[in-house]
Amino acid sequence: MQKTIITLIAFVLSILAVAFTVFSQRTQTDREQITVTPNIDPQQEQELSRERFEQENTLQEQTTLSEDDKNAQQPSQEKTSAFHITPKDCANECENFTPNSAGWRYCATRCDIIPVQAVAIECDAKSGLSRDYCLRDAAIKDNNPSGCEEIADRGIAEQCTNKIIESLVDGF
Amino acid sequence: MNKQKKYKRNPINLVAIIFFMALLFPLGAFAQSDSAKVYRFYSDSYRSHFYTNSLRERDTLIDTNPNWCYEGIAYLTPTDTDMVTPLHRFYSPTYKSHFFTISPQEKDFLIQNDGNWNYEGIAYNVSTNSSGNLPLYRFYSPVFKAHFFTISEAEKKQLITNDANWNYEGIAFYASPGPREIPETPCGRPIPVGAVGPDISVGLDTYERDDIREDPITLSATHAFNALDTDGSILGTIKKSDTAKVFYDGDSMLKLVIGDSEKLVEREIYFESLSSQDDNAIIFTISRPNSDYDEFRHSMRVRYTKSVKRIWTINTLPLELYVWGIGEITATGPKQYNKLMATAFRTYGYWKLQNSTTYAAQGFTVVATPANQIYSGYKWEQQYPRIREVAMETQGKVVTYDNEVILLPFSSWTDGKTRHYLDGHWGSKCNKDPKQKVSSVFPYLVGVDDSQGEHPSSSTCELAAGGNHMVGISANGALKRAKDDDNWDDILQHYITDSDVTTIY
Repeated sequence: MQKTIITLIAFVLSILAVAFTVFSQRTQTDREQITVTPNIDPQQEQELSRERFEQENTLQEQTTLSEDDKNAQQPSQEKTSAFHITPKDCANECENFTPNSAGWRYCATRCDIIPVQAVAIECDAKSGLSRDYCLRDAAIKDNNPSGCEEIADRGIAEQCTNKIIESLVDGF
Repeated sequence: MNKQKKYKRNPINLVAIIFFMALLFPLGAFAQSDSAKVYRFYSDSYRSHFYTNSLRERDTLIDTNPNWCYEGIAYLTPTDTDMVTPLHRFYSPTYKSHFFTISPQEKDFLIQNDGNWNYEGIAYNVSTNSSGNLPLYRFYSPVFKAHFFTISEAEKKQLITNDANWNYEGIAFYASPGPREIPETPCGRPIPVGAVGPDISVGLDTYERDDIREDPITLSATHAFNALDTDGSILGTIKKSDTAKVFYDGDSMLKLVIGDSEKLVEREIYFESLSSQDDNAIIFTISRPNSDYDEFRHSMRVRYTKSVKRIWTINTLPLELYVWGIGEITATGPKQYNKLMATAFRTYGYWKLQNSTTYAAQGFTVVATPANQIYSGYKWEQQYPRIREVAMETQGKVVTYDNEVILLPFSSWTDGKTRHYLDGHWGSKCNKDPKQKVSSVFPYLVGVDDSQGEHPSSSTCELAAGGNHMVGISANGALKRAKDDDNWDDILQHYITDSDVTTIY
């Protein structure tokens, strides 16, 4: 009788253990599903970039500058990038942007199609992205990573810091 | 005795035992037996393929029979026992060829009627179940008197489309594809390497447009390969013994020539193996104007970039294989030093992949010259195999600080101490006004003692004039420490403050 009771207890424990195993496997699968980051199709990313670019491109030059000013004046706690540039944009030489537009210039700067300018002065007299490009070039020219911290645009600021350490390590 | 009988008769006891067994062996464990690998060989002499699941037979052929070239894992045999059937193996001394069939009728017919074929028995079991498996296609060549089996759709398509020597006979049986292998040499034993990391593209040589109007870039390889455009459409297939030529044709167009066929291509031509199975096995040979190191693993590209009006030849390969071909060291010195260097090379490549935009518009990440780190490819790898050895011992490891991969500055010599980043002798200029302040941007580049890397005679400014910025790792200091049996990660910790070694793959 005692043996049967022990066996019954073991039986119940076994069921609980198996149930727990199955439950934990399911919840693990659920967790995995939740943590999967949705893949953004590069084409979709490009469309988003283009959409933002088209919106900006419909504005007059003066308006674009004031938008840039607003960007520059935004609190710099959470920096953002003016345009989302993908490796594909660089590989196709920014051909999805209208040549010489604000979007194209941003893309061409991020993709090193427009090289770092040897002369970068009076950056504070400039505004928006023009100021950021100027600050980037000045910081790189002077090997001054602190200068990159003043850049409002996230993508340009990161590129600035990366280019400084890169140029030092590569001995350019 | 009675208790024992009672125990046996109690059905609850039986169920409990089953559940206990379920606990001891986790769910699915019974189904996790290993699949057997089927190894594939090709003989150029006999124009025939051979397949075996025997590791001993594989290694004997690789080591002793130069007539046979090991091509890798052809497929896997089934793990379960449902819907399997024996595969019968024949050999013909007349045709120097093996033949395999699952058909009892075909087997009996050959045994009874064809004296050219000797029955060797059952090779192994294969699956007749199409569910969850891929078809294994069977071809016959009346020219070579040989059969060929492949699981590769690309290989099947290539033979049907481009090779009149082979007749497609249909699906022989079903199997699952095997893991990709990296041979040490073409036809050689596979290298026991696991994950090989993300692909990195390396710019090898650059040309003015006029350089290749008359004198083309040429490519050949150890395996047949495809030429593709930027959309992935196949422009042509280049056989093992053939060469592809690329000219600049004007108006931003490249001209691809394969035999008598010519095609104009915009921007870029990709060259890669017919099957992804062979990606890491194929070795390309490409014409190089200023280097004899002209052999490269994995895949190649020729690209014209409008914005700079230049053509580049580019080698794309997994990061780990890139480290094997780094020409900065020969790895003949102390092992700990070489492990540190292999980790530094990998870290450099990975950092560039994540952050560098210098060559982004030209379609690659780093150049093969000292402007980045010297990369000499497959020939260098063969010449100095210890590089691969130390790379494999540090496989997938990179240097990080605060969970970010970092670039590691190297200086050949110091004057007995390294410098904070802000006090470096950058640009060969002697910094006579040190701030002695740690950089907030590069806090891991902090000055430390380097008595072991102190130059025996030169002054600080003489060393600076020679390009010694004295920031980060002191190469001679690290070498001396390695000779003194310091571990490579301890050496790293000494020079790069609070750094970590992180395994990324």
